[in-house]
Amino acid sequence: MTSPDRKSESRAVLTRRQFIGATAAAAGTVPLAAGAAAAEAAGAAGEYDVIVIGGGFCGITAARECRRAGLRTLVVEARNRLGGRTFTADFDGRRVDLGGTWVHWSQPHVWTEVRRSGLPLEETIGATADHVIVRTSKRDIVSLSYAKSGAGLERAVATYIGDGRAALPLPFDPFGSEAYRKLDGISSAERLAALKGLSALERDYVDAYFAGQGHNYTDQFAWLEMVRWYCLSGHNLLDMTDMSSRFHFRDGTAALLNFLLAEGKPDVRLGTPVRRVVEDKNRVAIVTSRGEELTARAAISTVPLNVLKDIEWQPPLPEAKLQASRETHAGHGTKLHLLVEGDYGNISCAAPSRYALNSLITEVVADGHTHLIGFGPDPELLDVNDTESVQRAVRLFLPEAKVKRALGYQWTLDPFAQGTWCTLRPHMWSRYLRELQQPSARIIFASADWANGFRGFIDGAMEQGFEAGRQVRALFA
Amino acid sequence: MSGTVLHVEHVHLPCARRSRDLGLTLVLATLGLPAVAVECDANLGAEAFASKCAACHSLEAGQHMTGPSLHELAGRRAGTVSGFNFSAAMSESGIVWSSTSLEAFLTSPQTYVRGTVMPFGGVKNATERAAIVCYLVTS
Repeated sequence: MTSPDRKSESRAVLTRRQFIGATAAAAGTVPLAAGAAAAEAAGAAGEYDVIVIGGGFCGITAARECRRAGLRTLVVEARNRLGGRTFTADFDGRRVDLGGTWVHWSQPHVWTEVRRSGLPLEETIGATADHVIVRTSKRDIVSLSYAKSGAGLERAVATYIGDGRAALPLPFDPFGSEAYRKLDGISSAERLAALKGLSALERDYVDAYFAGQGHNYTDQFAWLEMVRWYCLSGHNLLDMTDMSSRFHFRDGTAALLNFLLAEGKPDVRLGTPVRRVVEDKNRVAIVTSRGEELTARAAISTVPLNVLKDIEWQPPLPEAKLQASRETHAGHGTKLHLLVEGDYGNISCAAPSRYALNSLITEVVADGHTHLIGFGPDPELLDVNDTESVQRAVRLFLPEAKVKRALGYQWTLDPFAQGTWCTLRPHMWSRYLRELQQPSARIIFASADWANGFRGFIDGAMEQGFEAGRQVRALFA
Repeated sequence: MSGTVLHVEHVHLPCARRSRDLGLTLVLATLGLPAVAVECDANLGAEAFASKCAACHSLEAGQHMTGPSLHELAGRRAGTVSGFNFSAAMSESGIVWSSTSLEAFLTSPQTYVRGTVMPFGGVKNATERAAIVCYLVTS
């Protein structure tokens, strides 16, 4: 690949290269798996004050808040690991994240912990790519130098956002203005179709960019969700890309989760799916899939939106919560890490909504290989376990590419996730968001899926964890 | 709109796709033969295990990760290794792990064991799948 340099002189924040080779701790040292640091429940110590259902970033943050308030706290987690929709694994000698990955200083909850923990970050270099390669809807492959064409792409995306900005004067507060209601029913695809003045290539790029962010076909998620991301990250394409895909933990999100766990020290039970939750006047009883009953004075459910419907709630959940869960949020796509032979440079590839991959960006070039991260709209279009399928998808952009290895986690097949990060479908914001945030008398409902600000992000999960802690303290006050 | 000019540097025509060797895959899948018809490819098995299984499974005795240890898997009754919380579906499946049952399971885990919580859609490539099965039963 030729690469007229668009070196990030003004944008380089981290010296990534110095981190390469200094690989993370071995998997076995991370106490997130069964048998490692899975404290058993407090035996004869009696009832817990709080049981947190779910050990992702929301649940572990909430548990730390409860522990800080001096409450006896148990986390029950269905899987044999913590992390929820984040999952750190090894890939080609590096620690990589198969789920939630990137963090940014615009994200107040997680960034505070980034600084407090001192954990090192690295960059995904493709977030500031030298070249943008577009597979067009006419099946051409077009290569653009960002130095020459970046401003055009930024203007095309700004056109797509357009008057959406006026509808979200307070993007961190979903109910700070009623203006969103008029636009909430518009899908990303409908917005793009209604726009005039974009070239075919610009249209393909915008469709691809937002399919990757919405993680589904662009007719499946609300345009306002993307407007919200854009507004939260400073109203421009470069910062939105930085916010969503540039900075990640060198040792994976597991490193931050361990930091939170070490501070909170809640009791944790892994491999304990919850089948039924029974709330009465004085307590909440959690019945596990093995029939065991655990009780507490209050509970924090961090069960994801798409999974809420699969637990038996007594009394039943409000219909709006259940209906939202049945409709599911739109985050249903694929994500994978892959290693391609040869140096393809610092690239960002884009293909419109109906292709197997919408986004493919360079993580790093090392040892004669290019490590790329890809996102597609639909597991039916790309089997992440099948190298041939992955290679066909990569060749949408790089016709000669030879895929050496690929790794993805099939989030939609995970019964405890049933999807990826939350992007709301058209109308869900106005119909369900407020209700999803409502507690019952003794159960706080917290999830990144209905966070106020960075909904769908690690920051949103932590926002909800902090909020759940506040609500529990109020309950016990 | 003003000034949205994109500077196209290269345009490739889409390349022809290679035809896949569907015939072989189909025959092997239909007959259910790979485990006996294909000799162990140790290198392919190790690589495929590393890239598709090792994020959640270890071959070390007692080292449970997101999924259970697969140490000395052949002959073991599914869902019985100590120290791991299995789904009821796996514990009650009655499966004894062998080349044949592993071949069927890895083709489509959630079909072969309905209700398993293993979030894995299966290995569609018969050669690769057979290599993983060989690797598991001989490791």
